[in-house]
Amino acid sequence: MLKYALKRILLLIPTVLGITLFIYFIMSLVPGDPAAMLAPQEATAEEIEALRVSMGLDKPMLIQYLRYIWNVLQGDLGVSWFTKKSVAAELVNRLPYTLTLGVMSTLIASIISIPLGTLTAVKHNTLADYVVTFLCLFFSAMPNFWLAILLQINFSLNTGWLPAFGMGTPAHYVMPVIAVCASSIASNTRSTRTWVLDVIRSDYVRTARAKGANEVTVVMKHALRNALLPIITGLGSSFAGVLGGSVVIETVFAIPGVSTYLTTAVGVRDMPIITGCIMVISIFVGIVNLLIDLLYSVIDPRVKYE
Amino acid sequence: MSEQMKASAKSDRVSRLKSTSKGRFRIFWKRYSRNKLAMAGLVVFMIILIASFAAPLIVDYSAAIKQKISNKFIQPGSSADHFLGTDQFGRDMMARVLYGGRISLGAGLATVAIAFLGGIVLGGVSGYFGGTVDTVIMRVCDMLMAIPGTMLAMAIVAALGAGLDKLMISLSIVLMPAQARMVRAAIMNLRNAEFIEAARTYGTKNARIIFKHLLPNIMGPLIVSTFMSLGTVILCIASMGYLGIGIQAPTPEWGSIISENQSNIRYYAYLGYVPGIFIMLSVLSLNFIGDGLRDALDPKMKN
Repeated sequence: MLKYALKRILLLIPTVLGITLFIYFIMSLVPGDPAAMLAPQEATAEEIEALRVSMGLDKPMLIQYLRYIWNVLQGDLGVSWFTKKSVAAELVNRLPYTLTLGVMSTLIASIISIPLGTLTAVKHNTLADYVVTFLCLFFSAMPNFWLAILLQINFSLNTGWLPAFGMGTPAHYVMPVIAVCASSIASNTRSTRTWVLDVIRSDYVRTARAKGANEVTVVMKHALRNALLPIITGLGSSFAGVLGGSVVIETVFAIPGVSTYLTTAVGVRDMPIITGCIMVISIFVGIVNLLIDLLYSVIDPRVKYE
Repeated sequence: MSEQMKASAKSDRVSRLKSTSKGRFRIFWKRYSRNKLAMAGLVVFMIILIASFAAPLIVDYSAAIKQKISNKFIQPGSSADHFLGTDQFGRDMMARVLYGGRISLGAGLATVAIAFLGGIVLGGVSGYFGGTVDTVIMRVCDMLMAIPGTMLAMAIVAALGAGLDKLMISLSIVLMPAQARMVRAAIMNLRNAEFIEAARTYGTKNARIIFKHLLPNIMGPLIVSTFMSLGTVILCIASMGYLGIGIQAPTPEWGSIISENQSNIRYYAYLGYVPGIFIMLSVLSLNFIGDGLRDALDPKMKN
């Protein structure tokens, strides 16, 4: 298992290299000169050229890329084109907020959606099932930033119950977490329902009922346990979804996380920041997916790693 | 009920053997129209879509763009000229929402169409030929799927530069890997089927095998997944519009209408509800359409 984990972590390296190369490649396709954009209005052609050389933009794309990777290996993610501040230092400050938001939302989403989905599967085609399914459809169609704005107005600006912006106390997390995880609760509940329904019609569940096991045992031990594998896989991809969702939510609540950093950088095309953010995020998504893969053997002893 | 449906599905399968494409469509439509939610979704989506694309017949574009401060914050329903009210600059909300729908829905449809074609080409090549081509394409797909879609789209937009066309390209790059994978898996399943082998033995060209024999057989699930992703894409475009990525003010877009009114929503709730409800209704109806299509095109996928 350790060997498997190590192999998976090593496999993250080509992914990260590929992603950054991809971004460099797209950037090189686009005409336009960042140095000219960054230089002051009255700069002469020589000054722009000097700026270009100092940014390393005079070299071919592949050389730029290799130099970037070489620096990354030494822990240097470069500096912002505009503010000249270190990207790595900024990311270290911002990552805790985004990761806390992401992990909390994924956990809360699974705590709510697995029981709810199981319940709707057991109470298949009853009023409870219809109500929950309708709510799920409703929340999965709702833009998360819209939900965030509505929460912000009703629970903060109009009533003063919760802080509206920023980070600091646990209370600051309440609304962002709700806004981020609403849609993943909705989709996970629906997929849990599908998977449990699938299992609940199987022969061994009928056998368990026939031998007189009570309903709770049947559902918890026979049905849910066997449906858990695909459900957990879904939660892994919902971590990526949650991080993607946090892009807008961090802006709505002015959270100083990685997403707001990325958003402001995209507005001004500050490429070192963008590449840095994408790299860090892909590493964390990879690690979470690995952890979920390792969870498989806990859930299902038949799973073997090679 | 389920017995009856099983029986009808079986008879469909038998009759399909000699059915023409017209007959096939009739069977599909019969199955689809049985689903009330899917029909409701189709009606609502068509109304929004037609209203958006026929917007010039309903209101003038200048009503969506031209500022007239004396008309600001007219409540919906209180003025005959401004059915859905006006915003802080006195611009007609109905005009903004309808013209915004052209961008939100139009860009969404275009994005999904590009991803659909790209997915077929990439997945088809990958699944049919296998080998090194397959490995390379699939590794690139894995790589692109390793980052949250919204973030990848933002990074690509940043690299390409602002503009609606760039936004559509970046979103379709985000969608393509999943689509390609699905096509690949479906084709690999069929690649060694007897009818393909038969076609090959009498010397059919690769292109003809792919387009005439393979693709029609995997179209059903492919169309379903495309429709299912359309809702997500519309939400994604709205998020991008909200963040001001891709679409430039004062061009209206559903997400950007919400962000430009954000500070006033607290006092004039309709400014938030009007665009928000349009987004929700279109995504919801698309989800219903997707469910209906899945049940109609591929009864095996139904739970």
